[in-house]
Amino acid sequence: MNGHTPLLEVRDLKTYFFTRRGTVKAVDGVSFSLFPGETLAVVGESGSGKSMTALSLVRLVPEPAGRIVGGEIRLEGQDILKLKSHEMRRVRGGRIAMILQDPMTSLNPAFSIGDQVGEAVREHQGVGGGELRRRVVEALSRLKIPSAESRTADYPHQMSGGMRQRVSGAIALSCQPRLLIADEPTTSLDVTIQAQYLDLLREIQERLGISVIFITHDFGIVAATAHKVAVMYAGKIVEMGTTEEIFDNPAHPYTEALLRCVPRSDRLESRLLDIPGQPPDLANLPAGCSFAPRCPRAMSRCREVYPPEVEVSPGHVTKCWLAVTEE
Amino acid sequence: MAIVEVERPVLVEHGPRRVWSAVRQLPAIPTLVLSVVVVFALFAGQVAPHPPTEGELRMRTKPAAWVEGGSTAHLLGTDDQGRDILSRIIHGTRVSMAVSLMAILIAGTIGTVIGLVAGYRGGVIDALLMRLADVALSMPLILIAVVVAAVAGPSFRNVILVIGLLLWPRFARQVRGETLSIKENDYVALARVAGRSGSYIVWRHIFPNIVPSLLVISTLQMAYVILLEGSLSFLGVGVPPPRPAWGLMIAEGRHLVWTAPWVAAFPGIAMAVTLLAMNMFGDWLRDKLDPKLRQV
Amino acid sequence: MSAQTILEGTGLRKHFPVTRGLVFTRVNGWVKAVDDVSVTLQEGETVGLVGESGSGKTTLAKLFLLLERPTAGTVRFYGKDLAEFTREDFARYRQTVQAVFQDPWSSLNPRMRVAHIIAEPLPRGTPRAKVKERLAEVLAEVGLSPASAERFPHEFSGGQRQRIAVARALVTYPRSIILDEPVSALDVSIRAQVLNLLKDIQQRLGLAYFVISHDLATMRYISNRLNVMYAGKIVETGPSQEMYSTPLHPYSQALLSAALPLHPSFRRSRIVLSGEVPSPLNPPSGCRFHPRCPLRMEICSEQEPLLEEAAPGRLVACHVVNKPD
Repeated sequence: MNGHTPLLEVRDLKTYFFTRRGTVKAVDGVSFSLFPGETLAVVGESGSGKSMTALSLVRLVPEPAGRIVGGEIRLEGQDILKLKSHEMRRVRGGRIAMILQDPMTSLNPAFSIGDQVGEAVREHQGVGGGELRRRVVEALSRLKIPSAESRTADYPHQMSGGMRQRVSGAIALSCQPRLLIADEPTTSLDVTIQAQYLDLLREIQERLGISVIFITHDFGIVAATAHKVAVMYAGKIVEMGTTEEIFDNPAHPYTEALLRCVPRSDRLESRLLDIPGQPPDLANLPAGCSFAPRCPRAMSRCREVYPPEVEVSPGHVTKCWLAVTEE
Repeated sequence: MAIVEVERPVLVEHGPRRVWSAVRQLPAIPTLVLSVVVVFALFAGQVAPHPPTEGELRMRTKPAAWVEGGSTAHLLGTDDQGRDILSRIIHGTRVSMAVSLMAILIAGTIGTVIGLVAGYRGGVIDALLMRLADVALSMPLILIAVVVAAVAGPSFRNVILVIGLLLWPRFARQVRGETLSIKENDYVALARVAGRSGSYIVWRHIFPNIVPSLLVISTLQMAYVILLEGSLSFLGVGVPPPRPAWGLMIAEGRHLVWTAPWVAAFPGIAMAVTLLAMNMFGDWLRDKLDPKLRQV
Repeated sequence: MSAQTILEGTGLRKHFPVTRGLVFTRVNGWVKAVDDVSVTLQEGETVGLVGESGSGKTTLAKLFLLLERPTAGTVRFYGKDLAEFTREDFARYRQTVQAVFQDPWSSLNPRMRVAHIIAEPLPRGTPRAKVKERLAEVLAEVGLSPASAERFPHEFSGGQRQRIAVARALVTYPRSIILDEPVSALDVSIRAQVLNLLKDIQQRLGLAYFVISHDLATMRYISNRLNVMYAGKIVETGPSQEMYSTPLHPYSQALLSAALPLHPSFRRSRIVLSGEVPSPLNPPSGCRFHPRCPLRMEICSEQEPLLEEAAPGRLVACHVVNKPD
């Protein structure tokens, strides 16, 4: 699956918000590559910039306060930041599709699901009439929605949360995108439904060879679905590597702390290690490493200069002074 | 047990700085216009160049100062009784402001109470109160004002009462809607868990949270009331003369529309400008207080 | 010395009528949110209630918080039946049984100062000095500065707001707190903070917790005993650690295996349930879980299984598990 050229190459992406309180650096120099068929999990808490990164990839950053101020996003070699808006609209939903967290607001309550899936199919595949209907049913069946044919007349409120997320998935996948961005798609779902949904997504991904960017705060989802992981904090990727590497050898104190503060259902913990303090105010970042105020191993250098990116092992990078000194 | 709380310092201003920063955000033109109107209303006697009800017949039907035949003593001209139009407009703001403030006070109080009760209690009480609101809404306000004026004679008090008693449903509906959604908040349930009574919850929890939207509706409804009062005065069933009211001035200027159009035009313009300013202010207030837009 | 039983719910049912019409109302059906549930809470222990949406767990919490009255069944408070409560009994109940809810944003009135929010459960006639003193005590207990009292909720982060909610729950010297998803809405790193805080407070003050959550991992960390709820009924109950190591009811097993592993190498074959969580309006006949159950037998669709002791201290409601052999 590690193909030839990457499907997606993001270089030094910067998305800032200009507010009365100051400039909020929501995404501050994010870079990563994604190959066809690969799943990248972007992990972080609120304020880390993970959702804004996803929105930046499809150029849906809320304006006028927010703006992509720098960087490159190359989709199959083409820098989509340079596209005109009507060209970007063809990319959005066509080559890059998105599934969002809340199925209730992702779907329009006033239209039947058949209409909504049909709209997407018609827009990107240009078919109509009987062929359109056929493809709508096919899109729904692909997401294992039972009795898809009869359900095309249903409205979103008549379906459960899990089903609605499947419809969102059907809409997203109906145009055979190359990249699927899923922003916390299972957070609002029940545990057993979440398991179903993740299995389904993985199956579809493998069959269609799609690349997936999975945005989540849940390391369990990461372990279950991702090949690569990028850990974000205060607008920057502080660590990135394969899933195994990140779980077995976390190099950044934040990653380590995150892994250790999550309770486990498979064994009893005597005490969770919590991270004191709170995530920083993105309009007022401290000098040096943004994690330093909460870091148990912060040195004086950490509070002065932001650490550079260091390769800990092949394919595993981190931005931490501790990794630098260990070289 | 001492937990290291790295508390983020929140930039919340207090005291005079907060007031100044709020003032700086006000929309310039509407606020300016409304301030002028308020000043006129409060200090009409001092600001107006001439007494509003006494006319010099020598100077009647003079046009505005910049038109040939006008004089600077009467900037906006005079009507056919020689009364200075500018002064009458200035004094007219008193009527408009007074009527709208008091009518809104009545309608707002009744509407808020009914809206809160209907929204919080729900069920049959809600249904009954809302049907009552429907009845009030379906009454033709102007017609009723005419009837009241015919039966009880036109008066300042009657105008306010008629408007106030027929306008409350607008408040009630909005307040009820907001109450319904505020009721769903956990802090309301927690207050019940703490054993607090319904009236405490409505007064201390729900009411403070509807105040922002109440301010918005009030501002917008005040504009509407001014228009209503103008219509009633125009029809002769508003505030009785000789007190100058804009609507009345327009009515009086009706027969002069071809020969001295300024007599009706200027009060009309004054009313339109005031209404526009109030609506713009109300819209600005609504946007300002909308929590969703408060983000960035 | 055996601990006292603070709360005891026996055979609790809460059925909501589905009606048509306002003045001449007709009942079309019943939503059986809680259907014959018995749970106890003893001093000092943490009892967990785990279930997915539609399980009825939040409704059960509301019954214990007196936000709803049971359609049938009894609630006993230190042995006294709720149905026989006097005004003083109710007052004492409300002081002894407190609540913390899930959403830190909707739990605090944005227009009220923190001081008033925290002091709200205190009895009306409490002298000012005592209120101030108690306020300072509970703020210290949850690790917030005394200056927090004069601030407004929007000046605090999510984790801090949950602390305020906990402080409020402590203000009346309660013996028990009912917590409905206390950390689900918080960031991962803050969850650990708040969970540790809850554990510490429990230790120091000898509180009992009744925790409701869908998150199995959180439950394992803090609960002593666990109840698993499905479609309004309790399907399994017992000591937490035993239930996690050997869940007996097929739903408990599925729930546990659906909880995601914490390492990529654990992508083992999971029990993935088919179908949906049932609608409380029209629950399946017999055992409510039978349409999704991998072990179902014929009797499961006909007869409702009762909670029986399948092993010492472990109660399970399942025909397959309790098969007499």
